[in-house]
Amino acid sequence: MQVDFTLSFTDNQWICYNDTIEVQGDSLDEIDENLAMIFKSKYKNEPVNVTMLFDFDYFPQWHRQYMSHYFNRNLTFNLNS
Amino acid sequence: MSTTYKKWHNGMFTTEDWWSAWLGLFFFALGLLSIWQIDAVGWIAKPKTWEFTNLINDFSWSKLIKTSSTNYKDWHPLTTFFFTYFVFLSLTTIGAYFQGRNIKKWIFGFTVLFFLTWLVWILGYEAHFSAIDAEIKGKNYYKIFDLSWSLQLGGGFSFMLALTVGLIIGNFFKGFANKIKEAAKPEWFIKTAIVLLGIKLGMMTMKASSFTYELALAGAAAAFVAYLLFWPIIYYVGRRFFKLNRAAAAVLSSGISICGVSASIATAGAIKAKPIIPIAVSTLIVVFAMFELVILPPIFSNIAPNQPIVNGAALGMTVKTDGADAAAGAILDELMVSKHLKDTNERWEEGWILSAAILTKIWIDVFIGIWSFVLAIIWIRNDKKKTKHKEKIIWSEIWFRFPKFVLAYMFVWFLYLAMMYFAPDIVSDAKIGGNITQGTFRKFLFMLTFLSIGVITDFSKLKGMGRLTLLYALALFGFIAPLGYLIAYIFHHGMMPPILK
Repeated sequence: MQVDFTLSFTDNQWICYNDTIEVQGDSLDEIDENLAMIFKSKYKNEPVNVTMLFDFDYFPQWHRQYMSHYFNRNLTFNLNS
Repeated sequence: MSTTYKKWHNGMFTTEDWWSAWLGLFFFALGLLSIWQIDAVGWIAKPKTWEFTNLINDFSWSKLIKTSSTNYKDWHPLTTFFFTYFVFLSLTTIGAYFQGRNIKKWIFGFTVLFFLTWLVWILGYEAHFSAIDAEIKGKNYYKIFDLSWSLQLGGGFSFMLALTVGLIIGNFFKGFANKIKEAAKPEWFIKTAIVLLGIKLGMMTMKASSFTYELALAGAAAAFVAYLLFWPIIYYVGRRFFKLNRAAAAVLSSGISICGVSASIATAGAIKAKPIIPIAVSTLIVVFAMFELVILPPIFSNIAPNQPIVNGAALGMTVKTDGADAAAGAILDELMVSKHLKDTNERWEEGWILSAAILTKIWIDVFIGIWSFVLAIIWIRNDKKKTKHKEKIIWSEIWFRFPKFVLAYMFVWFLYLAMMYFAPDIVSDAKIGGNITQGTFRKFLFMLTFLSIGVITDFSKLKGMGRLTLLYALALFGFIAPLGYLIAYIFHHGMMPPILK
């Protein structure tokens, strides 16, 4: 199972969202744990591959002349463990 | 809507970095038309050396502005001026549109910047500021205007004046600065200019190929050594003495020791730090880059007047952000070439000192993606111990963080090399257009950069930065600058620019 998310940051919290799921967390680990809980109920024991693309619009306009990319993440959630 | 990058071609028409490549390559292609005897670049306006009383007694626009080639000599100076404005406004507005800028604000901001830049550029060419008492291209303006004194700063005075005017606007007329900030994009302008500098590097390679290769390799080696020394030491000092957390220490280390804002964002992304960290650090870097830009060129040129290439390379390693580094390199180039000419009557070819500064910085830019990737591996490995979920290393991150304008710079340089080796018959024709694009076009973009970099630098933003500011200042002036100079000396000493007859 492949699930894609956009990742952003607001009010000192990470936000991970797509059309159907949105989770927040103080850290990326917390985001991952929150997603794992949702996946467990939604996809049972099936491994889930997740892509998170950081939304660079978070950065102020004047930063974009120096760099235009923050980071992407690729994770595999093994829900059996 | 969001801005994310998943495929390799994402951002090709929406980022400033790519647009630097497109705009630079477009101007380069226009210049190349001279191979087929088409002059598509000679229309661009350039300032002339003028003298105040001479102008007042008999005013004429032709004393201030001229076209860049004789093919357009019949054009009125104001025609060439407004045509230049129209071309640059149109092309940058197309770029701004694709980058999602507010077009009304862009047109207003760019228009103000263009006219201010030209005002300053013309003022800087007044003979009492610029004329050197020596013969350049068969003319001695000091004697032509019968001067009793002159600062003899060559084109360097225009650069310094543009910077000063920009800083005054950015710090004392903040309301006005905010209105034109939409178009004050020093990194876009300077990266486009650097692409055009690839032509200069190509021409320099034709003239002195072994020296140019040596300069490029020395720059790579120096940048690599600097990385390995600067980063760990700043990280250690940040952690040990300033009690910064791992993420803040890593981001600041990259910002101070590598290449400013881009390195701090790349590093923060690689270690997945909260994005507020690089944003805070970036503000610090931009303000400090201004200090470096203003202070270091006169210091280097006075302390080591006989080490032009070492001085240039040292700037590349010390001055953060491409814009500030290229600007500092341009000032140093003008100051040192003018001073050497005045003192010895021997004229160094201009552009070599600037190229030393740029080449070192370009290697640093290229290494950013690789260094960030190394850090990402270290951080992921470290975090694996804590997390249950498997995170993969993403190789495409190197590409997304790679500065694309460098590709265009290298392309232009290598195309000139290819011409030199495979089609030497067309080189002299190619140089006709190339000299204008790497000359007037590039210098105008530098002038825009100087003014813009001043406009966006607000010194009051240092307030409240506390220990970060202290660490930055200590690291920069107590460690990076002297050690950077030493590394530059080790790899570049003995290199001298060619002497023009």
